[in-house]
Amino acid sequence: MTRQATTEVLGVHDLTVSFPDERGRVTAVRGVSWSLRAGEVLGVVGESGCGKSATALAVMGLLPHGARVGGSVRFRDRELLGLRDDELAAVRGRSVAMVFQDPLSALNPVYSVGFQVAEAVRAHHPGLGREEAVERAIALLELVGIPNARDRVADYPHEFSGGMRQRVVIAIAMADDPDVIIADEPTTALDVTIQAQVLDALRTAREQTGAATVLITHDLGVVAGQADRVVVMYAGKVVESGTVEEVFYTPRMPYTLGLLGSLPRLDGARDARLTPVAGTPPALDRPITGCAFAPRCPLATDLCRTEEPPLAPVDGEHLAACHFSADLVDRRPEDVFPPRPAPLPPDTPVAEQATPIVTAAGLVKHYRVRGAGLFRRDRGELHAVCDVSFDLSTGETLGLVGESGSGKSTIARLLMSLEDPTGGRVLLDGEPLARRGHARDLQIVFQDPMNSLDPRMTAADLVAEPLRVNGTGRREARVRALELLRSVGLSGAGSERYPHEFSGGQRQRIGIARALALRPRVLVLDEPVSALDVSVQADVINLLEDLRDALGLAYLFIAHDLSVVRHIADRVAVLYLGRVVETGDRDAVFDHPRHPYTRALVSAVPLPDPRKERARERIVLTGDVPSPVDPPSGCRFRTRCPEYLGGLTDAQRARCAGEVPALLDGVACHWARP
Amino acid sequence: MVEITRAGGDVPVATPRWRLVARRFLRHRLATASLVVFLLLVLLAFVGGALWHYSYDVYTPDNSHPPSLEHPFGTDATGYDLLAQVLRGTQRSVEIALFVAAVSGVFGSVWGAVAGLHGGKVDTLMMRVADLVLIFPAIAVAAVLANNVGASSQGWLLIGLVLAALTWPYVARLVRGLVLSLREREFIAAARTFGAGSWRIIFRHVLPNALGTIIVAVTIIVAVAILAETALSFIGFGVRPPDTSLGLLISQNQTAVATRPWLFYFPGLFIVLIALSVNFIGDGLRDAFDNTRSRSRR
Ligand code: SF4
Ligand code: SF4
Repeated sequence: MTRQATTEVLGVHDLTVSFPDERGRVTAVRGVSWSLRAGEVLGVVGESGCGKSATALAVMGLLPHGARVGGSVRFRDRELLGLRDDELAAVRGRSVAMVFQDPLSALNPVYSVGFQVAEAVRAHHPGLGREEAVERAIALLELVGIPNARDRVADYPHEFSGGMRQRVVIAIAMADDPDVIIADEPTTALDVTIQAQVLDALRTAREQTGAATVLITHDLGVVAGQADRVVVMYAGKVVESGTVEEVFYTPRMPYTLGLLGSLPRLDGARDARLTPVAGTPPALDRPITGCAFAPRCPLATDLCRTEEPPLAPVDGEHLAACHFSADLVDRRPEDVFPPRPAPLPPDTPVAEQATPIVTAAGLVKHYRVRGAGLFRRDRGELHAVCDVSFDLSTGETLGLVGESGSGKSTIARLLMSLEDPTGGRVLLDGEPLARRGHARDLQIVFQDPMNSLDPRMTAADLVAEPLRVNGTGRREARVRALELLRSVGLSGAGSERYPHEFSGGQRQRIGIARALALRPRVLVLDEPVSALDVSVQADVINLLEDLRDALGLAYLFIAHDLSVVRHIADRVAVLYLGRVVETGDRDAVFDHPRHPYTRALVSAVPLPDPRKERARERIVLTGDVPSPVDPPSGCRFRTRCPEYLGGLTDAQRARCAGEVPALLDGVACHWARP
Repeated sequence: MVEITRAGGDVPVATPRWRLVARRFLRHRLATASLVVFLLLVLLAFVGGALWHYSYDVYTPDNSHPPSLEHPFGTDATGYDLLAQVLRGTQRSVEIALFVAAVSGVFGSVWGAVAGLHGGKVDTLMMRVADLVLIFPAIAVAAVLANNVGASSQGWLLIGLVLAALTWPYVARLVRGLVLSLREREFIAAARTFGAGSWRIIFRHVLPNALGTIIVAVTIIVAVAILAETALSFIGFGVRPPDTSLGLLISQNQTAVATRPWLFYFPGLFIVLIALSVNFIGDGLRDAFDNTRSRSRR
């Protein structure tokens, strides 16, 4: 380490932040301290509501009106808390740059992207002429990986994709030549292959400017790959901090342990059950006595409930806030968090069946796209799903993975007859699916239960509704609904509450209970856990596994998160722009991906394992997914295919562009490696 | 946060929905007060009118008396007791307003919900019809129609029907817009997947979620109806003497503002009270039906 690496550039000391709320004041941050040293990357991790973003906003002086801040935030030798807005703006503009989750809000929609980067350049180098500033802007945009930057400087922010916009924001941050970059969930809304590009751009920015970085994220994989040191937050406090290796390999606080144990992993290191952390984080609208984690901690004692554990050193600079951190040496998540017993199966299992229940045969779905405006000109067809076939047998889980625009949700809607296919058909037990009447056999769980549960109905009414619709009497439907709620782990008083009164995980359980009401044989799960925090997500995944095994259900599990699919699926199909590019046994596909896209996808998923993650060779794809309105001819992946862009001869390339590769032996690529 | 225990197999009894709504409504102070005011006004108009020893259509020997113990609201030039007239007028105005609100609220909601949910050609056709009604010069049409029917004893009912026929498209358009956005919500898709039909979706999912908006629209229509009736009476086409309404009273007595102000201000006060209280009741109802606003967790 250089001498400089130990000097602090940004220090947060005993920071408290509270917001007004209908129920009083919510103390989102309850005394947080950390320091950012020159040149390092500090990862701040935690689940939603843990106070990580409020901390960042306080540092930047961007808290909303009514928020109260206490403690201290020092940039070098300057106290930032209590500065006037203009003084703060001066510090912010020159020394601290921000990258937020939503890049659109950080860019001005009425100026071209080139202009905005050039402005930042000129603000920093007042002597520079307009021409030179634009040249510098182009160079910066190229540096962060914007293809054809020279041609795109005149474009406006809305003409860029989310990933591209985020890179523009990073280019602006670089132009400021900051000492500190604060990145708050910079890749959360992005697909994995795009995330890899943005993380690369962030790294470039860091290397070019030498800025120290605070990387705030809920994704442990991203932290493992990017950060030098980590701060874990829970309920508005730091509960553990240390180097990435210390925190990931020898966690000394039960919450960190639980977080790591509840994470499904793509590297297949653990095929065992996930170890969820029961319960939800505490409400922060009243004071907490003792350890905030105590209600969820299996190790909690009376001491924990009365006395708050201090954040104390456990080993050098490795700090943990737990009375019993000394006992946690070499303990694994499953030692601390006993897997919960499977809930009672509501029904007797269905007999095994070898023939497929559901078959999708050559599904095609096109949408007509019309322009806005008076004449609604026909803009052509959106090719959402193109010749997709698969089948699904009892007790089996097929994982459908793909990024946005891959057509995976459209497939779900086609299976549920929420849309009519343009071509192909769905067979149920070998018979074409009637428009209705299949309701009992195929049911769906949607991604966002807040959206898929009628906010005006109680949990019991929601679960009873499918039964009522299908002719069950009121009393009987109610009894069965309560039974179902119990089988997904909700019981008692909860049945009379409305969806918004539940936590995210509980809501998704209601969604699952409702889908099970008609005793279906197949569940279509459309991103069922992607809206949930990891510790809660693990609980729902376990529940789904239990129900599948108890009821002999078949799942079509649609997800963008490869790690979750690896955990739960037996077989996978990888989609790209509406076509299946690779399919096969889960381990075969994830361990030996053969299609260039699958290879890139698998390599882009960050592993929550610092050493492995850093040693991995990453295939970063260039560019964005092309528009499905005008997909590339021949192989749809060719505009981003590393083989096509690099390895192939002209003759081979001609075939990629001219001929659609058939799905042979599970791979749709003309030049797939064996 | 709600904690739900895994244990316990009791079957809890559901609190009836109307009681939850009532509880939330009563928490809204202004709305509760307005409800009391409104009910008192109605009670006064219907019961008080029958008990008061002067009738609205009988002359008294006193002409143009200012308010006194004998005539609390005074009398007009022809000797009518104004209290009796205001009470009678309130009856008529409230009847017409509530009737208009109910008819156009129900009809407009269903029309808008059906159009929005079906979309496509059905939607286009239904909304064209609604637009056609909207571009009718409402007051003129009402005047013409009321002119032909106003004199009969059931005149107020017909005026109500005419006003309802002219106002429902406002509700329909509002509800349709809302349904268009609700339609994209996944709970509607979810209902379809387990086989719920259109009517069930409309009545069980769409309308309850649109209720807040509908109620606000309906309370506005109450106010609009009262004012429309006033306007009609003002130009001489509404309720006809000897029957009377608040609007008619104001129009008859507008010339007296300077000399005998009581003749103008008492009916005016009643109109303002009715319109305001209905408005606040609407606010309270909207919040009461919107369970996602409730902050009480237990
Ligand atoms: S202090 Fe107690 S409750 Fe808190 S994490 Fe440690 S063992 Fe668990
Ligand atoms: S067919 Fe050609 S372009 Fe497509 S994935 Fe294979 S090599 Fe790449």
